[in-house]
Amino acid sequence: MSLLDVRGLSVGIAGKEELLLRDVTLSLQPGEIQGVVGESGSGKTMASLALLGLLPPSVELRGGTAAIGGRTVLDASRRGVTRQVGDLTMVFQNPRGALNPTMKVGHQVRRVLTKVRGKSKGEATTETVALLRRVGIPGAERVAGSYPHQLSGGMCQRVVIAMALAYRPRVLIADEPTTGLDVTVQAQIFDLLRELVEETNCGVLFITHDLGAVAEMCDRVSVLYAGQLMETGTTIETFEQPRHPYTRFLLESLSPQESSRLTSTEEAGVDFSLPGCRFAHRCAHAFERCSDFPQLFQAGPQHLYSCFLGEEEDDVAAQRSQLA
Amino acid sequence: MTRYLTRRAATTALTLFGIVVVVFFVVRILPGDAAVLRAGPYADAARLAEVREQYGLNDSLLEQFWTYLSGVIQGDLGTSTVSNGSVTAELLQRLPASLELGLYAVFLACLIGIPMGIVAASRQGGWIDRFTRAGVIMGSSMALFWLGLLLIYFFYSRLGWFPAPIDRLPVAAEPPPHLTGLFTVDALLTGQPDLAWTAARSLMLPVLTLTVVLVAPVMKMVRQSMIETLRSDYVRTARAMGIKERDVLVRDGFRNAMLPVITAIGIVFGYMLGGNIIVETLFAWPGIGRYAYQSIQNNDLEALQGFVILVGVLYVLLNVLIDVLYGLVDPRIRIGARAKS
Repeated sequence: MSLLDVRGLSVGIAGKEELLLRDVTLSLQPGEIQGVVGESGSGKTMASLALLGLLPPSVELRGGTAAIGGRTVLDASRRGVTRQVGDLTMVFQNPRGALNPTMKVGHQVRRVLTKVRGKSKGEATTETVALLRRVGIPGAERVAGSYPHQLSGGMCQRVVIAMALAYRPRVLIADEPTTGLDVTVQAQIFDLLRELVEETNCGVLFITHDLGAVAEMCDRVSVLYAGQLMETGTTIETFEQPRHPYTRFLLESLSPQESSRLTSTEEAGVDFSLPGCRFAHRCAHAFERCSDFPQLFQAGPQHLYSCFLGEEEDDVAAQRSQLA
Repeated sequence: MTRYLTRRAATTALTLFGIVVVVFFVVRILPGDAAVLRAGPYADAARLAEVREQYGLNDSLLEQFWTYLSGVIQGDLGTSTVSNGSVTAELLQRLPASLELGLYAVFLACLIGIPMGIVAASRQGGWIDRFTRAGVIMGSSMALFWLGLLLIYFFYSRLGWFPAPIDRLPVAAEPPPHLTGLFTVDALLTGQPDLAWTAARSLMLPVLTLTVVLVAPVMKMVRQSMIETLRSDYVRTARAMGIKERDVLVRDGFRNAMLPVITAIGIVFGYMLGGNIIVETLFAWPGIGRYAYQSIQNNDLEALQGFVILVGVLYVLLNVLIDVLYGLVDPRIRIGARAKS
């Protein structure tokens, strides 16, 4: 059984029909790092906030369920989000902004231990220093007494990760945790995340634009476009044999000579009210069936994609093999 | 800290110098002969010459300014034309009355405005939020004198709930011995709770009038600033880490929303220092605002100058206090800490 199981997650803007996330399905195994990729506005962060119960007031859950270790943490039709301590937490981009500017960083870690995990003050103080040391902060005692503005961006992100560790989540969502950090620091943060996964056996949803980072970090990858899951599978399978035209397009955009073939999303725009596949109007292979909403098709034991085209191809392949 | 204080003292001195310059020369531009004003309408030429000599009005304008400035530096704001008393003494004698009125009004405005602003921001669109926004519009569009008259009409004339809007105490009451000059405080300190209550009852209507107007900017600023901080990334982090909503509101939200709020309260207080002229006149309150009003009516120029300079000094002191508070609230602007590059 998977650690995190999200089914049919849909969210929309209050008072409007359109869905910002439509029928998103995700699953995550313990100890797995899963990349969640897609352009800005594809719903990566929105999906995470929905799971945490932190959607902005103007956005509401429309459907779906999520369970962690078999226990329901989100049920749109019943009690909404019922996250418990230790279920899941999130590390955000812009680490400096993610820390309270008027609170010493040590206190920010410590209060997760005391106020959320119910530890005594003494215990929490010792553990805070240990956690700060664990995330690779030199001179942890001294840093604990600093304010965020006195630390570098990389240090701030380590502090946020220490807060996340204090929370002891079974699932950690890392939302572009290295955006804005320089490349060496980026590599250190990646290493740290990997080590922590090995130590705690938690699952990580790693949200990023950076396909290179996915290839390096992630066991599996899920591709989102306009709030719709396009394809999910092991990183190797998905990158080597992408089944969805959008995944192919994303991968092609990595090589400079191919990048001009499709207009960017910003130019093309996204119509969230389309009933069918949201990529259809940009897709070179679109055909009449694309005005329906494609369910997930199976390409391999762990490889799913959301496109009628693949099914047709599979049918053709099946017919061929029958003929042969 | 010393560096800050020296710099601050220098700028303060400069500001006050500017105020003295402007006030002195503006008053001199006003029509009317200072000697005639002092000597009275029936004085003859000899008496006028005598007055001119006595008050140095024959000196050049610059010399007069110098005399006035050196007086101000020594705390001497000149002599009142009307009473012939020292302006400094008269102002200081009336200042506690104004402070008592103003402090209660600002305190009450914060006591109501801050929690309302916080709740309004945390439940945007809820009924408290709607009530708060209506209150802000009402308060900021309310004319002080009209509101004061309404309150007097209903609560004094009609219902008789409060004593007559004249002075700080009813005629029969004896003021408490002077300690702080705030009647309510002094009465309590000298063990006269009944007298404190009497003083408080006289305070209520004018304080209420001021509060209605002062609470509006406080609520507005708290609400706006809270909405902004509640949208911040660190509030989201705190919530993601499971911190309880009440802690998030107070420690992450309000604590960080306080900076603009302190500024707003400072502005409100400053506004009140000048704006209480209307309320003090309306309620015959013996404070510096009414003193200023009377000095305008009586063409008592030195008294008016003194009032403006006193308000200037108070305003500058208020700003120093606000700066110090900033440093306490926000570690990024610790006073005296060397700026990091």
